[in-house]
Amino acid sequence: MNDYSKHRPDPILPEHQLIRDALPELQLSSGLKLRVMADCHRQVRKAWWKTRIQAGLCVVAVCSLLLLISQPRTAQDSVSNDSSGSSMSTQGQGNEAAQSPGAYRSGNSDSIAEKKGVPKAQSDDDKKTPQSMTPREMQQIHNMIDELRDRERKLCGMLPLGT
Amino acid sequence: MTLSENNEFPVAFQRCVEGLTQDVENALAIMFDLTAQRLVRLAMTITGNQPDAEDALQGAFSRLAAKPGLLARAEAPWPYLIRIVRNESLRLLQKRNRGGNEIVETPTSSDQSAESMMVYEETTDTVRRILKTLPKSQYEVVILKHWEDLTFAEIAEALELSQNTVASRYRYAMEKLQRSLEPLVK
Repeated sequence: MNDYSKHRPDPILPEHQLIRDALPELQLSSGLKLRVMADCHRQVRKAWWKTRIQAGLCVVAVCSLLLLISQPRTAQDSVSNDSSGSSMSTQGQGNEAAQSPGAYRSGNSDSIAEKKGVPKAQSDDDKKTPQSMTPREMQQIHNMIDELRDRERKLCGMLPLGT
Repeated sequence: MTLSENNEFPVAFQRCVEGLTQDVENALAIMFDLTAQRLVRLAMTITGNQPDAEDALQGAFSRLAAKPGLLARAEAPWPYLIRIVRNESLRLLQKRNRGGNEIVETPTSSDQSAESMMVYEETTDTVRRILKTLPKSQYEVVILKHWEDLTFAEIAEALELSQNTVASRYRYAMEKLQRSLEPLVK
């Protein structure tokens, strides 16, 4: 259908006019508008509350999910802290020197710090014993070891070795 | 319904629809003033009586108030609103499951003489009676075409039918009406 035929008005035949004339004029019931508008007001309020409740539920759901995700992680952290603490205490029982901060050893036998031999290499190069290190150096080494352990935990032991 | 009313209606209605995204209640109030009579008249073609038609209108506006975005996003809002009212009317009819009464009308005022007024009233009554002899599916199409000035595309949208179905229903209806209305035309 071309544009002309689309906009061309339909011819009005006499019977069409008769049908159009038969259009009934209505008198709406009094109070219909009030009734309809009151109903609309109720529905609008209801829809407003519904939206708010839905948004609230979404927030609660997201928070619960985040909590669920973070829960095992914190539990894992506390377990690893406990194990490292216990290994330190057992070392401390046997050797007094091991109690010093310089004798820090990781709880995990396959920890990256050991695999990489970071403290060993450092001690070989510098020829420093834990007793000869300053507290500042010790603190730096602790930080490095913690950092490496943290990375190892995050990457699930997938850090390349020997680099 | 005058020609100017017909020309102004789509613009005013479109403005109402746009208002639905800002102030729903105000836009619905304006829309009610603009469309209530037309929609009740349309609903009456299904329900057959005015109280049920008004209930259907209330139901349709209630739905609109709950989800105004549906009408605001509709491609053709006026046929869409007609569809909502029609569905509400059908739902109500199904619920009540009773036959329709005669249309409640108010006398039209005009300056015609009493005699010509009587003839006019008689003719319009006859036309309405003849219209009601049509099958409901054809009656709806004729009403939407001639009383609401909708195009076949808009009627198809409102009745959820194809344009071809609408056009053929209209053609069959008009063939019957031409035969029935012939004496009145003469």
